[in-house]
Amino acid sequence: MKKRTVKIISSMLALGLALGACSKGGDTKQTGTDASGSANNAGGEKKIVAWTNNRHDKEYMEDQVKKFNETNGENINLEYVIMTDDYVSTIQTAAAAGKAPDLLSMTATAGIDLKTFVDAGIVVPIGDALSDTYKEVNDVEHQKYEGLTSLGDDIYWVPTVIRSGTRLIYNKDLFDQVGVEVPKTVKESVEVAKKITEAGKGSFYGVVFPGASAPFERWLEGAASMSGIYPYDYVNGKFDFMEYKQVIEDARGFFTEDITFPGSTTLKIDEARAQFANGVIGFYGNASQEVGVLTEQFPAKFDWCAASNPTVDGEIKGALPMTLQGGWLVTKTADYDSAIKAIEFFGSEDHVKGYLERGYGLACSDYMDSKVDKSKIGKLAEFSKQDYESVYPLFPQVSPTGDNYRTTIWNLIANVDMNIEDGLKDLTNRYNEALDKEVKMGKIKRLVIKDYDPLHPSDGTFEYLSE
Amino acid sequence: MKGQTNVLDRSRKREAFLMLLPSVLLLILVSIYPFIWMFRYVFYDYNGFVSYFVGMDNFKRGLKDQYFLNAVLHTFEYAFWKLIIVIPLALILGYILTWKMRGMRLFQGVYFMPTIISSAISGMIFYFIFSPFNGVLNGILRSINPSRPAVDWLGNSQIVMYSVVAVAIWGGFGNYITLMMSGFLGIPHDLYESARIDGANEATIFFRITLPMLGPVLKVVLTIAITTAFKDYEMILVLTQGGPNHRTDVMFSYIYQMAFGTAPGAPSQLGYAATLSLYAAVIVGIITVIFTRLTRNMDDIQ
Repeated sequence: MKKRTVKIISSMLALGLALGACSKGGDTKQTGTDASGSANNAGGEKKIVAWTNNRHDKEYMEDQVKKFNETNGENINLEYVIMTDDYVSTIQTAAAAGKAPDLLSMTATAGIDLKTFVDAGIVVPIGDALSDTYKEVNDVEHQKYEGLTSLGDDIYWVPTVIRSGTRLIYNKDLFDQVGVEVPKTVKESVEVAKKITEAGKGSFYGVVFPGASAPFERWLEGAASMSGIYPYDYVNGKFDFMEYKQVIEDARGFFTEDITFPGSTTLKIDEARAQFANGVIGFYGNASQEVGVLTEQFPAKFDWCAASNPTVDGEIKGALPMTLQGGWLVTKTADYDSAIKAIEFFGSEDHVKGYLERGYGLACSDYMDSKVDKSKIGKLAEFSKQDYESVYPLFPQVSPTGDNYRTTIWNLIANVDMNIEDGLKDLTNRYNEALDKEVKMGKIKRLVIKDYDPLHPSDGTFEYLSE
Repeated sequence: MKGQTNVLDRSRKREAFLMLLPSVLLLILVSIYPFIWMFRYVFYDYNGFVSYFVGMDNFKRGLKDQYFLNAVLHTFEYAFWKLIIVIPLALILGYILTWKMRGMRLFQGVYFMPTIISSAISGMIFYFIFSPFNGVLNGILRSINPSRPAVDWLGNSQIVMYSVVAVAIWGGFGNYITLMMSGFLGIPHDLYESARIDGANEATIFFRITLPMLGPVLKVVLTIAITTAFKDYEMILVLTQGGPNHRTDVMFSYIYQMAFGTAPGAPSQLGYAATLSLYAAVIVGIITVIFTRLTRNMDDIQ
């Protein structure tokens, strides 16, 4: 009996050791992410950690990080970590445990809500610490967007690149073969898609939507905003989705006519891209990141072009949103000076020029735009900044019950038997209920821009109300 | 003599205690503690960073939330179809597999295989099988009838629930077959022999002897199957993300979306999701209690 007890205890000890070893393994890894200045070791090396969720620029960034580590002259060692999934929740967890990294890569689509991060005390302002050269190269004065990059006078990050607004990306060979022109309105795009699908007789199709990967924002949302239709009514400080009715009615044509690529409602973006690159699709929509996709990830062997995003009636009455990218947030626990040093490096003319010339994005500042060798950027030139493109002020980020507005609107488009007006009313109510509630509890503020201009959305006077 | 058994008992108790300790510790650490940690947030609006006290708001909101109520109905629909097919199927196949015939082991292995594949992976596999363009299933249908238009198995709201249930059955029945088989094999052979001597035919033997004797095992299988069916969501998330238009949203897939954001960048609503999980736990709890009440006499083998 005793023997058995001993056996059990020893096996438990073994188990305990194994578990201990595992957690230790985790710990050693963590020291890397245990970001604070305390990570500096005896050798005088200052170790800082940067997290990013960008994968498309991996090769260039890793080379540049190596260069930074060799040339910074202050013995700063930057560890560059690419987070594969759940970027924001990983930061959440790490920050809650006091183990946030020093630098967080920031793009306007990363899912990081600046105000939430500031309120939670995770990040600190960087505006005052930036050098004059940095400010000139990246035009810090004009690249300041309330709620997105700054809160009041405090600048938290500076974008160094932009992603264009959405474009209609089409297979020129297929368009020529069928004999159709690039559509200017949503209605026309339904007609064009119909012609192509009919000509294809099951071998090629007019249009594809990545139903499982944000289908609405790929270009139909752009069609709405260029027609002056936007979720948030900045003048009155509340949500209003009723105007989306026209866009939904027009876009429903894709589904009532049954002319989309089969399975569009459940397709993921990469599958949609692969099919387009395969030459069996007339057109789809997306922003400038498609240049890399269609030249490297899924190289298209035919002539493809990017045309202006269609609108509801062919006229441009509102701005097409662009996305700010290529910035860094500094965390509260960071080795501040070393972190700023890294930011200066990633915002230097050399670095940004290399980044832009590899086609990872478009220039943010006029200064950088003038330095880029346009002959090197290839197809990206088709996505270059248009007069009607702009950055929208961030509307209050509410947490409504049920679907977010993009999913709801997409469902109204793809499910032709749903009542559009009822759906939009319910959507408006859900968002405004959440807004009223969250403003009341002090979680968010109501944004009002009395002199709001849909063609220049970020130019007005911002008012933040707590009721 | 008496004293000796006591000592034996005590040491056996210690042994049992030690053996249970690791799993109890793990249960507390990774299941009970997080549950309690999460539980306090049912009264909060919590986005993962900052929490705001909202009292009973989350509870009221859950009762009015049409998306959640629909998800509850879908859960029942999903569980109904899954159970009504998977249990009889496992029962029959399990029975057949106990026959002493060549190749039975091979079938056992084949049927059990889906069980060891993670439901997320099987979701991926079936995503490709169901694909309307160049999908395997539509390819087979087309080879039978070339003029037939491709079926959108996951995009058609009238079909999608059955597609999802089919994958769930494929992934789950191997497990239940194994349990059923152990039940069948546990039935004493002399019962069959005496029945045969008495002139009973195979059908009578199955319904009069095998099934009643299987009672306790069947009850366990049913309990596991019911609770699993009500908690399934991983495969659904991979296959359809609850779509199209929430047609396959079950309770936990909706809760998942609330907890981790409805879209990239959408704020997470951990407090509300915690409240909904509580509702879901109560629902699954009630079902289990009703089931155990109804099947109380299945344990008694006459």
